[in-house]
Amino acid sequence: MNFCLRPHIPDDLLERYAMARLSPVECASFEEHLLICPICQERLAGVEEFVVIIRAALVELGVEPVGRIGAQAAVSL
Amino acid sequence: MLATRRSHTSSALDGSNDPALIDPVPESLSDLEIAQQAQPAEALRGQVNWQELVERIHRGEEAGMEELYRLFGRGIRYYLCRQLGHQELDDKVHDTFLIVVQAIRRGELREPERLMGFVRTVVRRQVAAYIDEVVHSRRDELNLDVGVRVADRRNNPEQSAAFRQKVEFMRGILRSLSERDREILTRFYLEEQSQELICKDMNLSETQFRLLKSRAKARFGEIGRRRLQQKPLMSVSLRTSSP
Repeated sequence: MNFCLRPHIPDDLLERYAMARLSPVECASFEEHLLICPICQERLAGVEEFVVIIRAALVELGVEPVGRIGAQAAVSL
Repeated sequence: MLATRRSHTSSALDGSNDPALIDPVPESLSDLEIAQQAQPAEALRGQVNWQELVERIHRGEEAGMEELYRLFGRGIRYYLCRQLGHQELDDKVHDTFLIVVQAIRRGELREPERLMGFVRTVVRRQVAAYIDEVVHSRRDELNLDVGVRVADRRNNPEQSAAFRQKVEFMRGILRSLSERDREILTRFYLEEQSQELICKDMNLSETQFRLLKSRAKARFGEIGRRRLQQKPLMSVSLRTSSP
């Protein structure tokens, strides 16, 4: 039986961790939770996969440098 | 349970049990977002009796060590695998666990409630030691000062095919977006701009930004569930924090 902690790490924190955007102090607390929570381990794996895939896809699409579209359009997704 | 075995990395870990070198658990966690949303060690006192667990291990009780392994075994394996790959993973997990147990038995963990932070510190030092070892070993072998990929992240053909397929799916999703939405995602995921900067530049609310990301994820997940039955691509996971 695995021990897990609740509440679990929010998605945006998982994403920030996957992208190495947590501060050292945030990272410490995050990793302590991660060491003991298999659910968040699984969730992080999924988030990391998404980040890897979207980065690869964006590179392959050859997205142009930013800053040329502006803020005129609404978010359309 | 714990066979004493000379680790090939143990020399690099000398001093890893020095309490003076152990990262302290920050005192101000309650001020942090993560502390409010993901339970830090402090919040676990009611769930795990760290004092008792450490005392049992200190006394050499087999059950105490089993409890420690039950709590941390999977997490240690996960962390090491994520940072270093699968190579010799069992040995690395064993070495890490041994260091933790031996330190506790020597009475070096003076604040049992900091056990989680202590385990994390040991694991991170293990990762750093393995990376250091690989770098030096490669330098010795090749006499080249080059960047080294420590973890063996080469996929087998099946994993490579699954990865290619997922990237293709993602490209399809991205193509279906407006140019503006692609720019937002590019800024965030590829150029690693902050959410605040992107929202400011693109005149987006935080909600709009989150919605765009969550919808992209949902569509990716939907396609993944529908078409793919592969496990997540752990082998291409990102290195995150520096050890």
